Amino acid sequence: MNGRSGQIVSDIQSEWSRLRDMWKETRSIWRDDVGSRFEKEHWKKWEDALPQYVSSLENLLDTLDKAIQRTDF
Amino acid sequence: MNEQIEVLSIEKIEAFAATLRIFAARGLPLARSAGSHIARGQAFLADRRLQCRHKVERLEDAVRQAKPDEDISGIFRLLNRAQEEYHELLRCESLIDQKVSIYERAEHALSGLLQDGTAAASASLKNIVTALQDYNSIRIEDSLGGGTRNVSESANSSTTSAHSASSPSLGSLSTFPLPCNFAWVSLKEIDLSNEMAGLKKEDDFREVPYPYTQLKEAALLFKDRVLPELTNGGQAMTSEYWAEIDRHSGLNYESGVQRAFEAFLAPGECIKLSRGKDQPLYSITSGRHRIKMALDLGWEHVPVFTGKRIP
Repeated sequence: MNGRSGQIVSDIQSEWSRLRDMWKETRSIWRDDVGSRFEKEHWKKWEDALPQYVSSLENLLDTLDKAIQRTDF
Repeated sequence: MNEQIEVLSIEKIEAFAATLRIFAARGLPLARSAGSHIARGQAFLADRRLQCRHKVERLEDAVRQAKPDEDISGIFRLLNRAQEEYHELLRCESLIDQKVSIYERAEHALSGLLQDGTAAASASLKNIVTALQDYNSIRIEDSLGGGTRNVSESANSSTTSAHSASSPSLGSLSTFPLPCNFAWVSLKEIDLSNEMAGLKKEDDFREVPYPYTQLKEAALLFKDRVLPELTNGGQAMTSEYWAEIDRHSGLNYESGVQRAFEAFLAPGECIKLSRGKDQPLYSITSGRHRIKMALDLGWEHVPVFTGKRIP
C-alpha cells in the first residue's frame, strides 16, 4: 500500500486498538451478568464489524494501489 | 438490579463509554476519508482507461487510413500494446469492483454501528452506570436522618446470621457524626483479604496522589482535628469551612486540614463501597489506600459515601 492508503488503514486500526484495549480493561473489572449482556448485545457487533471493515479496506486499498502501479504504462 | 454485581470501578465503565464516543466521532470521518480515497483511486483508473481507449481508437483509425502500400507494422505493434493495456485496465477495474462491493457491505455495517450502535451502547452504559451508582451504596433510610447512624446495623440486618454474629463493636471514631450521605462502616464488613492484596508496603502507595507518609498525616489530621469539630455540625461539615481554616493558619492545601477533610468526606474523593445483594462483605470501589491506612492506624471504622447525591 502507498503512503496515503497505509496511513488511512493505520489510523483506523489505531483507533480500533484503543477502543478494544479499553474494553478488555473494562471487562476485566466488570465481570457480572450485566457486563456479559452488554458484551453480547453491543460489544460483539463492534468485534464483528471492525475487523471485517479493516480487512476489506486493507484488501481493497492494496488492490487499488497495485492496479495503479501496474497500469502505469 | 436483580443480578449479582461484580464491578470494581464504575469510573472505568464511564471511561469506556467516553472512549466509545470518541471512537465514533473519529471513526466516521476516517471512514469517509477512506471512501474518498477509494473513489479517487477508481476515478484515476477510469480516466486512465478512457485515455487508453482513445489511444486504441486513434491507432485503429491510423490503420484504417493507411495506404495499401504503406508499412504499418509499427502502428500494429502500438495498437496491440494499447489493446493489451486497455484490457489490463478492464481486468483491474473488474477486480476492484468486486473488492469495492465487499468493502461497501462492511462499510455499511460499520457506519450503522458508528451512528446507531454508538447511541444504543452509550445509552445502555449510561443506564448501567446510573444503576450502579444508585446501587453502589450503603443505604440509610431517610427517616433515620443520614450520616449519624452506624451502617453496620442496617447492613447486618440484611445479611446472613453468621455475619450478624460477627457484628462489630463500635470503635471510638464511629461515635463522631458525619455529614449527610456518609456513614461509618466497620472494616470487618469489607472484603479486606482480597482488596488489600496489592498493598503490602509503603511503595504500593506510589501511584496514588499522595505517598504513604502524606496520606498518614492527612488521616491523623482527619481523626484528631476534623472529626472532633464535626460534632458542632453546620459549617464544619463542608470543605469550604476547612479551606478557610487553612487560609487563617497559612497552610497550603497539601499540608492543610481541607485536604484531610476531602480525603474522607468529599463526595468525589471519598471512600466508596459496593456489595451484591447476597454478598456478606463490601468490595472497595474507591479508597483502597485510605482503607489500608485506616487499618495501619488501627481504626475499626471508616467513613463511607452512602451513594446519595449531595447537592
